[in-house]
Amino acid sequence: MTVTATGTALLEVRDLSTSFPTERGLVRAVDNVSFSVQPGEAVGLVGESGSGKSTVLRSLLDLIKPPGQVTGGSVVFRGQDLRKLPESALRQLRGGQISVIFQDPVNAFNPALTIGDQLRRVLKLHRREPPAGGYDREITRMLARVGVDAAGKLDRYAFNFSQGQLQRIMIAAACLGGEPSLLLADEPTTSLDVTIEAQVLQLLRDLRRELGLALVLVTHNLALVAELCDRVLVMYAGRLVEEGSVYQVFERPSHPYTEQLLRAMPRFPHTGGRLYTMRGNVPDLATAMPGCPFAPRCERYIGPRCDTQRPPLARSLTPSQRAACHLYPSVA
Amino acid sequence: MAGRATSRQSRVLRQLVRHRISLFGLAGVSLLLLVSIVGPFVAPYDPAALSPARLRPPCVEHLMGTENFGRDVLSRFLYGTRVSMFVGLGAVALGLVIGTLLGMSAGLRAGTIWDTLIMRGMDVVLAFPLLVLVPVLAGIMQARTIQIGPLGLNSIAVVGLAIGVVSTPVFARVARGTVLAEVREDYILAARSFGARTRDLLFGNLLPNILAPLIVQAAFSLAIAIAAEAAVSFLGLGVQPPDSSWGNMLADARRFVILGAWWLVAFPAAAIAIAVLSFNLLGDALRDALDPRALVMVAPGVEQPASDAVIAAPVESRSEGVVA
Repeated sequence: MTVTATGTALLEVRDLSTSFPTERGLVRAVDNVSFSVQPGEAVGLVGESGSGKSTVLRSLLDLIKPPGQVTGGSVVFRGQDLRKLPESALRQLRGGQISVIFQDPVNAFNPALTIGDQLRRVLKLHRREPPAGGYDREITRMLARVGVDAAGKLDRYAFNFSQGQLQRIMIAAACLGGEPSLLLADEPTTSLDVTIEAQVLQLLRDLRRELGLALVLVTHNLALVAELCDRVLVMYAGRLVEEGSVYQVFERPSHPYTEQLLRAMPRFPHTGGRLYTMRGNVPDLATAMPGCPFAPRCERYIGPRCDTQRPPLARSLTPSQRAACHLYPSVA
Repeated sequence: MAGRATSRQSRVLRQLVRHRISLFGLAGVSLLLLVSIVGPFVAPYDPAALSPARLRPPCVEHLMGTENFGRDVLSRFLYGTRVSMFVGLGAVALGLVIGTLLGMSAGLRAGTIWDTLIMRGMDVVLAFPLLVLVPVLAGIMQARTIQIGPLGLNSIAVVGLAIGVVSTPVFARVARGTVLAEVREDYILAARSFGARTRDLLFGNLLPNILAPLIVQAAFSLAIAIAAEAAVSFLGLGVQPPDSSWGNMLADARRFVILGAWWLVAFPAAAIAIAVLSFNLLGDALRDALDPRALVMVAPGVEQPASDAVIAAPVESRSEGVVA
């Protein structure tokens, strides 16, 4: 399958909002987020802990645990709005055309079932008839594809495998359901050590090339995004604050948050002096923020407008780069 | 790793056999099951056959003696064992299935009206002492002949049903609690993300993970159910003559014990004691053997050390190197 640049987006997210009711009030974990993913494109979704990046990922497939709830917006995948699909149709998409990979592969497998059992279930959910040669042959083939020798291991439990192997098995499971065209990866390598991380990344890269997979990668690891992604979305306090190609955003960040975030990254060779730290903390999402949520920590604060008026995502430094900041006047 | 992967079942069994006390429980339960299955086939007399030999102490012709109508106590005991075990097993099976289903659905919809309705309903059942509620239920059901289609319920089924109702709330509580804990786990989210239906989540993913505490509870509930059947039958509200059960054998014996007919009381009483003790010991042993930590941590194929200690440290998977 080759990537065809048709111009129509594979995934078009508009004004997606998700909130969680808490004792202190409604927490708007995802606040009017819009973005799109082209077929075969890799998009990185970055932000610090609690910025809502994982919640965005889960909201796409309506995997939010109650009492949390997707409260608004649309998620158009291949022309159909997933939020309007009946549950049964959405279920077919999950693990079929859209697959999710989780951060901690150890906990993402059922401890009471064998690996073979769990993979067979994924397969059976998405195939009406057994594949030629039986389920196990198909599973073994897919496991071999991700670099796990399955001989005699299908009747073992998750705790018999190493983390790296489990993550490979999870990737295999993500591809088992059919022809996935979109892979949602939630910090897929955070729990792995660096050598295994490199191998898993290579695997993801290979699969993307082979299957023409589009990828949404949620991570707080900017290096990972630089390595794997074409475009990057920066989230802060549940909102999208900057969007652009990886090259543009890393080379010339346009939102003060991105700029300060990048400055806080250690560089090699180290030029001496103390590493930059961003002052302040992430804001409390339960309190209403009429202005820019980053204003209290911003080094380019330009006046009361930052506190009272919410900046829209608008064209910033380059034509294909957008930022939600009053530094860039939005051209209506 | 040379050893072949051994199944979890055989590992649990080994764990059970290793402890002497739990072996006693296992032996007691096995013996009772054996007696209840083959007993009626080897019974020397018809349990209802009257004979002129009344209130005979144990002798060669009547190993457990005879009672006031001259019926053979051993034969009545063998049939009665089947009845008592049947009532206990049936009642617990009923409570286990219904309680688990109710508890799981309540746990899955925790915080909703459905949850409240189910669990408060269970509380109502729990609020009555077992030995009050079972006779009342059995009495109500006994009062009229219950016909379900062509099937009439006899007194044995009625007692089983009543004890089943009473043992339901415990299972509902255990199931709900464990579901609440498990449903937040990542593997449930992952299963959902791979397209699993609610049905798959409940029976495919959750049930295997909450089974261990339910099995343990079932063993304890069996002890309680058997004691309850005996008590209710003793009071005359349970299994009705001419059927015999441990409980109504004791009830029949009541008037003759003072005449010195100890054999009428000794055997059914000993059976009840052994049954209750065995199921309790088995429950204890199962709790250790099915410990979820022991389950997760002990890799199949990895031989456990000979000590009795439950293995709490993770066993590294050794055979799998990273396949490049």
